[in-house]
Amino acid sequence: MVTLIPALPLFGAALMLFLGRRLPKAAINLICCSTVAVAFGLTVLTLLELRASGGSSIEHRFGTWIPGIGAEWGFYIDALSGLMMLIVTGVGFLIHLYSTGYMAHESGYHRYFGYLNLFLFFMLLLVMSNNYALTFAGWEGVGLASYLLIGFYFDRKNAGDAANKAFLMNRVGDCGYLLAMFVLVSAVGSLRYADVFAAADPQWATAVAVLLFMAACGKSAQFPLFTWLPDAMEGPTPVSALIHAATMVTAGVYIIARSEPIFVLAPSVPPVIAAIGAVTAILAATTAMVQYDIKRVLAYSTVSQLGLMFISLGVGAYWTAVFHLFTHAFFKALLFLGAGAVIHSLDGEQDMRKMGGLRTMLPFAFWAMVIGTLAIAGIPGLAGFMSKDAILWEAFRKSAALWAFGLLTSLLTAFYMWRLVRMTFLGEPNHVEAHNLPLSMRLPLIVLALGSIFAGWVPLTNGGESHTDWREYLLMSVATVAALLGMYAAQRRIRLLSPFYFLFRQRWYVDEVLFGLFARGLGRGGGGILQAFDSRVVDGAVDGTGWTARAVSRAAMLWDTWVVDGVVRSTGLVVRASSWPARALQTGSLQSYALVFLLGVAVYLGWAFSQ
Amino acid sequence: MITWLLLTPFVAMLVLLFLPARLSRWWALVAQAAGPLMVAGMSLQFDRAQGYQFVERVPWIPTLGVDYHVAVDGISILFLFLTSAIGFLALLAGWASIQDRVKEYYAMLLLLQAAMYGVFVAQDLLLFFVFFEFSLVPMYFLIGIWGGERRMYAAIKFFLYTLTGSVLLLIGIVALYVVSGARTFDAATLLSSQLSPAAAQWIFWAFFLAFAVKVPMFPFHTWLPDAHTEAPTAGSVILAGVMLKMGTYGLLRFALPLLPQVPDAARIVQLLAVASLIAILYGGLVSLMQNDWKRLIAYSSVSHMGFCTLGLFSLNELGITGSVLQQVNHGITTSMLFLLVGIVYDQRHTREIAAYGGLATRMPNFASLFAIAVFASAGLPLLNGFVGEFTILSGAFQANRAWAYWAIPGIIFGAAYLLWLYQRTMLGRLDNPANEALRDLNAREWLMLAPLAAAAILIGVYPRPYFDLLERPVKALVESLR
Repeated sequence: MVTLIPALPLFGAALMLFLGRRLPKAAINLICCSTVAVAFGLTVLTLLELRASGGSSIEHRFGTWIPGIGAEWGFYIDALSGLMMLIVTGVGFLIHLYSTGYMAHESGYHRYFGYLNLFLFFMLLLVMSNNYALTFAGWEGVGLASYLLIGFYFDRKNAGDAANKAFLMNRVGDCGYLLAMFVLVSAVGSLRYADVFAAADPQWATAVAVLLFMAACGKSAQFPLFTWLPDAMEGPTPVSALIHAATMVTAGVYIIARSEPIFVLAPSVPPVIAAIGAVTAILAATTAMVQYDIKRVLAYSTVSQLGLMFISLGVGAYWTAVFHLFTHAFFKALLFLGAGAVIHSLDGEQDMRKMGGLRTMLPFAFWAMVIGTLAIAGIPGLAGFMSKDAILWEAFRKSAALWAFGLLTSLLTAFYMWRLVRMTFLGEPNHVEAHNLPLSMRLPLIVLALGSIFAGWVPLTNGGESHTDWREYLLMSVATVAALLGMYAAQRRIRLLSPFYFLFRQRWYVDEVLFGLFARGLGRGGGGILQAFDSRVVDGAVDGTGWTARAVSRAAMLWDTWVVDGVVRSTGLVVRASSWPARALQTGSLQSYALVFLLGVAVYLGWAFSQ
Repeated sequence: MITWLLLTPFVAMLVLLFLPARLSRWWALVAQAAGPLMVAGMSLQFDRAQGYQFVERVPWIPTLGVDYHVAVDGISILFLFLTSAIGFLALLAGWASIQDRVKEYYAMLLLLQAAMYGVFVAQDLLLFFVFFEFSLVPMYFLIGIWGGERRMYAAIKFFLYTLTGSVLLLIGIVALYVVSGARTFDAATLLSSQLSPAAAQWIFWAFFLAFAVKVPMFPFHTWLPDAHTEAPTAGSVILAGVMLKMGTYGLLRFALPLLPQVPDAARIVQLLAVASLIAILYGGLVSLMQNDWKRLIAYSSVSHMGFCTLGLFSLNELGITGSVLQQVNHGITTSMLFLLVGIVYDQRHTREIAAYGGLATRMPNFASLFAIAVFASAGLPLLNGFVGEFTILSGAFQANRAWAYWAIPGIIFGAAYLLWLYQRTMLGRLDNPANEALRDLNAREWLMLAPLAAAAILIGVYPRPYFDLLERPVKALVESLR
């Protein structure tokens, strides 16, 4: 049964990609949505079964994948992977449903759903695997699906660029993952989670922790590897909601939470994680403040929220990070789908400066966005408040500075989100007409809105600590005030931090530095130099050898003609010259031979007698 | 059995000479189709718990101790399978596009096929040398006659480079024969004979250089881009798919076993691993700069073969197993890439990347298969390239951590130049009117590409049988190296 959970989306994907062109739309909708829905149902059943059995985890092992390094086919399901499976299949289903409405008029419909199902397969593989290697297969697979979906509108140049950028930046992180596995293979001889954690050793824990963190930075868009995520918005909006907000980008959080036994043995690493998380949260939040593209605001917001999760991981509050991951999946998916509803209604318009006053025309989307905004801004009682408050509290217990960073992020979050709502929905309407939303798009919005309100009450943080510390209540009130202040500022069009806008507009120049350093410097510069080296030096040497050989042979030929042959010929001449007496004698006529013979005889006889 | 395998293409070539030209491609097809079947039959009888099998040994030149001695082990049989399959697919590649001197073309392919089989089964050094040399000649003609514009330059460069290698190989073999005093050319006997350190060193370098040119290892690689680019599609496919592996195979079989007798071997191995690392990074970066579709793939081979030699010089089981597996993988994916270029080239007669763009709209099936080849080549998990790369790098990491660190950027470059190539050719708007007339894959092209794509996925998902096949010979080799 467990095997079916990832197998169903895989089957759906294969069907779509091989036969989809011949299927009617209704069949595509039915197949693709039902594979995910059934997978969700099976996940629920599996988790209920696990609960009933009283154990905390189950492991299924099917056999070897790559021998020699302990890579195997196997699943490991516990609370962490179970929760991830629920998010992936649950939100995944809602977004499939939404897509049937959103993508209805797009060409390549089957391709879209094929990729989407493929994504779910890999994402499930990632979270369900019982070893690092198979998780890596899912890890790379979601990268592939993301590549395909970002580049879905492949005839646009930007889409292709963004797809490549996403894949390559992730590759940088993946190198860390690979190296972490090499360390594990040589230290433990296995990549299975159970084996690795049982053998966890401070000697190699730091190296593995650093390398896995590097991988997480790529996938979860942390500084400095975050610039691919805003560009990834070139993909269809439901994809942004599913892959680039709710699920794939949280894989980095997952892998660190999964590797907790290693990270606790490497005390020097978590502070770095927290610091990177804090930097990312602030950089992204400030950048979001000056964006005009509705999806880019949300993208930077995602980066910023992931930064908060990394702060939480960095202070050792693994479950709090996962808790925020869980609530974030609801409200960020809601915000993206709400934005998608706006974009869909305005025939693809994404510039907020051209929107405004949509509240009356799109009341449904308006309320969805308001709920999502209040949730992410941290208004008490809503999902985002619960999880963010938990993170801030955990951060405060470790370091007041981290808490301050988190608080500033909250304030800015409230600011840019309300700015989005104001620019889009409030004010004077400047649009004549907007399409209505089909039911398939409304339903997911309703479910996600409910989740954004109530998900915070799910008791996820182990045992649910009781809030007894008065300081916690104080911090909570401060955070709430900050959120309200941020929204107020946005409503009154107060330009917070405006002296630094030149930095925010340029996204802190991170892209420029990275591009200059790697793409232009290493790629083009290094490649160019080596190319020149190849054609000038190496081939030069080869051609030079050829030229030398030719020159030498020409010289040899001249030598041969004039010197050697000269010698030979002059030898001939000498022989010829010296041989003329002999030749003169050898006339070939018998008489002359006879004469010579007689002369000889006469000379001999004369000599003999004279003795 | 092996003799039959060797004789089939050879006899077929002789018969071909007496057939009318229009029948020659069909006749060649039948002969080449027999190859994979025969190898499959052999692998059914093959027992991986045993060493060399299907041994055939007949004296050839008794006064010198030369035997006709052929046999296969797990490594050889993998290469036989690759050779037979690539030979068959390469034949399909020129099916429609080769129009002049048809008969000679197919005769050359068949002759080449026989020679390549021979390389992977010969157990006698002189016999090996004969096959090794013999593969050179048909390839020279394939490039020189049916190649692109600069074919003569490329053919001569190829010939001179590899001929230099061959001379060194011959010198090495004769030196080994003389120095060991064994009065036989039997490879196993010669390679295990006691040598003086100086002799071992000289013979090792002769062998090494001979094979390094063929692989090709940095800095002996510049024949490769020219030869691969100018060769007709079948030639590129066979070069990349099989002939490069004759170099790594030679290193594995004849150069590595001499290492234990070479003084200061650790230092030499270090040097050769560094040369491999340079090939990986250098090949990757230079690939990024190419504007010629075929040349880009050719340069990518330099990088990929660097991984293969790095695995070999790790001198441990993981590294060597990974290397052999990766050689097969490279044969599969790079052949696929060359076949794909060939399909477009036959229709458009240009290899300029800038002349393409947006082909995915016209050729969706082509684009899908190209994507599989690109991602397999870039080492995406659940495709074949990953299994080999991962195993090689694990082995390299255990041999020397720094090697793995330095090799890793090669993986990023690999993804970069391949994806960029994909973007520039397949994605974007189709704005060159000349590309409007391109058609998607036809049945013959599906027949060439589908088996390779299937193999890429199969090896990626279930590589176990290959590891099982390689386990015994690799273990034996590694033990002999200690």
